[in-house]
Amino acid sequence: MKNEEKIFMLLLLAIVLLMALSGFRYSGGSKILPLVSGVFSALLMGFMVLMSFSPKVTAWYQKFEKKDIFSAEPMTDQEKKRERSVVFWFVGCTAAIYLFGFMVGIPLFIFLFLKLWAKESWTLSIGLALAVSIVVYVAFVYLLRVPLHSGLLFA
Amino acid sequence: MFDLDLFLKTLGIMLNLRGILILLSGTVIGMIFGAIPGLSGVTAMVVLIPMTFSMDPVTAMLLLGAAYGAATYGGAVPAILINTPGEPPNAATVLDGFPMSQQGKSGTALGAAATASTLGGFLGLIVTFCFIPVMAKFVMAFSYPEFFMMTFFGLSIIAILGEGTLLKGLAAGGLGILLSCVGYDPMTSELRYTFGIQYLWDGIEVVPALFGLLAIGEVMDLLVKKKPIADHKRSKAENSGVWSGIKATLKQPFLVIRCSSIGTIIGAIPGVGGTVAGFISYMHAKQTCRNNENFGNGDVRGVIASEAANDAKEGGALLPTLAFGIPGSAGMAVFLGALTLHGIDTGQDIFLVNMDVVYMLLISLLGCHIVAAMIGLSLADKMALLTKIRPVLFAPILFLVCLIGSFALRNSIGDVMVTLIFGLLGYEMRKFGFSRIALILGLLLGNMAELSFRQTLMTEAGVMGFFTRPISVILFILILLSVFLPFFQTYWRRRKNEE
Amino acid sequence: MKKNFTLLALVIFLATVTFFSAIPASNAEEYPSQDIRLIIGGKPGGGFDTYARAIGRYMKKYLPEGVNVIVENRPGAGHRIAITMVYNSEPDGYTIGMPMMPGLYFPQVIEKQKYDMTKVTWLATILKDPRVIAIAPNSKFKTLEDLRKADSVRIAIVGFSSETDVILGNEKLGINATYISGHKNSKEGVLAALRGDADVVGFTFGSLRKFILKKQLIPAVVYGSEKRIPEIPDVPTIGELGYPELTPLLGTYRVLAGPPNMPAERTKFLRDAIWSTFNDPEFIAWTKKAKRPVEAVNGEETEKTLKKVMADYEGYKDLLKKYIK
Repeated sequence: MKNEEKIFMLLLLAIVLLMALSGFRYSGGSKILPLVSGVFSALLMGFMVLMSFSPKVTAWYQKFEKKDIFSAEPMTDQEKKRERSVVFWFVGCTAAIYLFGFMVGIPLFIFLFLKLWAKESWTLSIGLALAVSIVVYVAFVYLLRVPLHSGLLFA
Repeated sequence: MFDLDLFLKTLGIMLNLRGILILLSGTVIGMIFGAIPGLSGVTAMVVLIPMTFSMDPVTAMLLLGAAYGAATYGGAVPAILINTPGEPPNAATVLDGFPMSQQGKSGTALGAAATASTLGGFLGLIVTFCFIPVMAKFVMAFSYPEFFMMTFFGLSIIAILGEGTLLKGLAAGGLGILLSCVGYDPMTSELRYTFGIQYLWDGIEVVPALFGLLAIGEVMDLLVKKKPIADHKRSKAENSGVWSGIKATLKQPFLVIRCSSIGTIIGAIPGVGGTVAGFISYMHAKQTCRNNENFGNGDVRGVIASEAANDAKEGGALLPTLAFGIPGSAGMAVFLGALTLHGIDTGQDIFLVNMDVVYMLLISLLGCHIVAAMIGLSLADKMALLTKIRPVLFAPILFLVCLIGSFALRNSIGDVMVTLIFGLLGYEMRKFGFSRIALILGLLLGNMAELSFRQTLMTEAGVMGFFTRPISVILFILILLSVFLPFFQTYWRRRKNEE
Repeated sequence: MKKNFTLLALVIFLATVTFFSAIPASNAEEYPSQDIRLIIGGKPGGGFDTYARAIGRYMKKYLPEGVNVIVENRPGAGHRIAITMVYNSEPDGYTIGMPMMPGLYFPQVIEKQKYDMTKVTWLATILKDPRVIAIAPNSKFKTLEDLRKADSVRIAIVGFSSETDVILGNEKLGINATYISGHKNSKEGVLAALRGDADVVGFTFGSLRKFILKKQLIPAVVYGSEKRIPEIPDVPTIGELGYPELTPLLGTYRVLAGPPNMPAERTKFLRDAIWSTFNDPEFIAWTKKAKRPVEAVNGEETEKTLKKVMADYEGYKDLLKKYIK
């Protein structure tokens, strides 16, 4: 858990630092906010990264905060596994929608997710996939005439 | 000034069968649009406008007003149940609304939200009515320094939110502000942080980011932990019905009045945006209520504060709309557009020639709150059941709703990507205790504050403009008080204990 | 047994998915047989939106039964998102737009864009809305001469890219302007002027009419109209002041256009339908009641006029480069 937290903080620090440094590129007034907020965030994140590597500093700073600084609940191995797979499924679903459009991606995702990840029954998986697709179609395509993205492959 | 005859005549139009049906259908449509994340009251009106072509302007106002007013009401529902505001102004409602759902008290939250919304809506309109004689002067008194102070006020809430540690909250807020710089510089039109991607030219749109951070972050957590939202281990079951919510609100009349006033004033200032209203009101409630340690953990007063303010703000938005024909909010803009489409000139002549339209707008905004309250309260307990559904069924659908909702906003697949990315970010932030609301506040207000700050520098008074204008100074003092007061309070308390 | 059931379920499932992703067949029958999309870059309730919806409403009469004009709001990037969408759509006559000119032409002078305004199919001009330089009543400046003599005039604008034509006019007249930009729309700009944060605004006459007629703003000069505006007959035009060549370049053209290479018959159909709408008595009645004037110009004329405007603007590349990033 501690390691994950360190990685996350480092990532945030990297992003913030990059944005802060890019701020110099912009002219005149446009520089101000990127630099101010970038430097500010970078300092804060930097301090947090420092704390995550040094228990001594953490103990010192903890005096100022009411809540625990590193408060992440530990996760069981099963939860970690689920976390990885959920991320995979969500990213995959979005990719499917991007490539094939909403009306294909939606039933596909619901069906596959319920059947494979949640191990639900066929009836439930197919039924829910159909039901949701119909509702979305009627509400968004038919009634609201929202041109739902139809995917790179079909456009 | 107030034409009672005309007012009663207009009221009569609403009170017959046709009028009531229109009020009802408008309200229901508005509530649905408000409750579906991604759709809003403005969307509802835009969809309804073609249907109003066959009606006269007064009846059209009845329909549109009902839909719009009900939508701000409907937006509280997903905020409470699934941590996702139906519309950005409902964002502050998630702070306490969602924790209440997690404790199994969603019925209470919904009841409180319903009552607060209705009362807030009423009060907003009443306060606006009182201000009408000084409308013009009031609107004129707010200039760039004041806009800055208001947005800065909103940003300072990050410091006192209490979600997670202060350090992390500030860092999240800072990141949010950085992200708000993406896109066109509001003054010079220079592109910042866009890396050649045209999608980013208008910046990161708040609504998709909000869905990702709040909703998808929660959804992922639900799936990983395999527990429904209302985790029974944490629920303190009794007193969790709708009635307790209604009672809780009615027991806090002064809070409701104060929060509605805040909402109305913020709504009346063009150029600030109504989303801050809920947050500032929330902050005010947190600062002024006794026993406020529970704010952020399911204190019903947080819900009351946010909802009262965000319904009152629409009443406030009427002020510049009526005073100058300058819409005080996106919704008001659509109202004016709809009136124009019906051939009504929306300048100040409207008061002379078409006052019935104005009256009908007020009536429908008031009326829809009553109807929405009745519908909402009766359905609230059923809606609360949503929080008990097994996550595996609920989560994938909610995930898709967020993606579709993001898309429906601007018909842009890019928004869907943003939702996913912020969803992953939101999940990680949630895991490690970084305040997502802080990031959202930064994203929302960052470059707005920057704009008004730089505009102030361009005025004759320059930087001194912040400190020489009375309203600006008052706001600045309020900000200092709000941020530092809690520290002083703890300090004094500690000293008292030592004595 | 289980295997067969699985197969069956999969087949049903795939069939459903295919059904939902089927693209509706179009173009085969008489044109138009489905709704026409009118994509605008303005927000609901705004100026473009109002004109678009009104035109859509009354144009229905000149379209076959069941065919509507659906207005889609696609705000963003200064109307570029909307025009890009129209430009890249199928030129089948089912997607048209209301581009803001000459505003949308400026970016392409500097840098290649995802659209090319010289290639679009012009359908009609709704109105050419001239700009009015109007002075706030509390400003220390009272007349055009004051403005031209002053060291610095504060002008509230929405953004440099949307009001480049105003900037051009000001430069020619020798007005030393300090532009305060970042206002969300013309109304906020007007509010800024009324508050005293700016001396002058330069929005279209359509946006400023109410305020001028109520004496809340004092008009000083008109950019972009050959003749004086009838409602403010004492206000000179920039042409009278010695710069008539600028008149077609300044002001906002509200036009209707379609993607490039639209088939001739469909273009003609749309041009005729739009023209009929403009002459429709109910539509005209609406323009009068709602105070949204229409001074229509047909498609061919529009094309000629705008092509010349775009060509002329090439000569002002330096100015454009200075203000548009």
